[in-house]
Amino acid sequence: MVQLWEKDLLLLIIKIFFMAISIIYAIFSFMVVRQVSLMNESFTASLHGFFTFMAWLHFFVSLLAIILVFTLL
Amino acid sequence: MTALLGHFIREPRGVHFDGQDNEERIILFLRQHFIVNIKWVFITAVLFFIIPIFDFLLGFGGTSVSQIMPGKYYFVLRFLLALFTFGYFFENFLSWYFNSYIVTNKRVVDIDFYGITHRRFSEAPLRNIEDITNNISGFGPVVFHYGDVSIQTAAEAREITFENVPNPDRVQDTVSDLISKIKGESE
Repeated sequence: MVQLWEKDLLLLIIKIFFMAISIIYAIFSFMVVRQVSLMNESFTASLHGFFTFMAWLHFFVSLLAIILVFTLL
Repeated sequence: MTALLGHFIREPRGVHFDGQDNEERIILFLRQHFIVNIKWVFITAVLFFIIPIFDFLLGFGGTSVSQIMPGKYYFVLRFLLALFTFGYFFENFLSWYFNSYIVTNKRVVDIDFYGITHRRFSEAPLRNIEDITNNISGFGPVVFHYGDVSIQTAAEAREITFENVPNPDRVQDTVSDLISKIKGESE
């Protein structure tokens, strides 16, 4: 009984940890989007469209991570 | 090497920087030497393989990560770790790619990004440059032939340093030649 309670508590702690991490990470990934936009202004070269795409993709996948954490756990 | 991913590019095509004049021509486009990226590439590889490595080590005890953690938690853990690994790689790559040093027929430009919120754009006209020194020191720099080029100027930004650039002696030589040419024209 005690072991079961301890396991539930541990899983709750892990769940809260994953929630916090995924939210903080989504904020970070949005900062990366803004950063790429700023970086692209510093000089132009043909890879810049790709970087912008990857930064937005990264942001949307981090939003997906939040959804996963909140719905799956 | 193309202008896209090179670290020492003479007269790159299709590259324009913020504030470049119409008649201004880029003579050298530099980034830090490829080898300085080895630390974060190694860390990325470790992050990529950390769960298989952990599983391998737990295997000696007859268990694995998926056995000690419920399936959905294990899935989320792998998902988040893959995301962090990509984010770490992407952030470091962007930092290397966009921290660049440009020598034109009019000036030297140093574009620096610190973290994800700071940008510094320093420049010095060639006619204001008073002294250039290059410095190669340490095992890595000697083996791979990269180092710092310090440019002393009479302008507001007293010193511009091109850090860890490949062939610092050739950079110094190129900038010196350009200065001689500009000063020769003005006399």
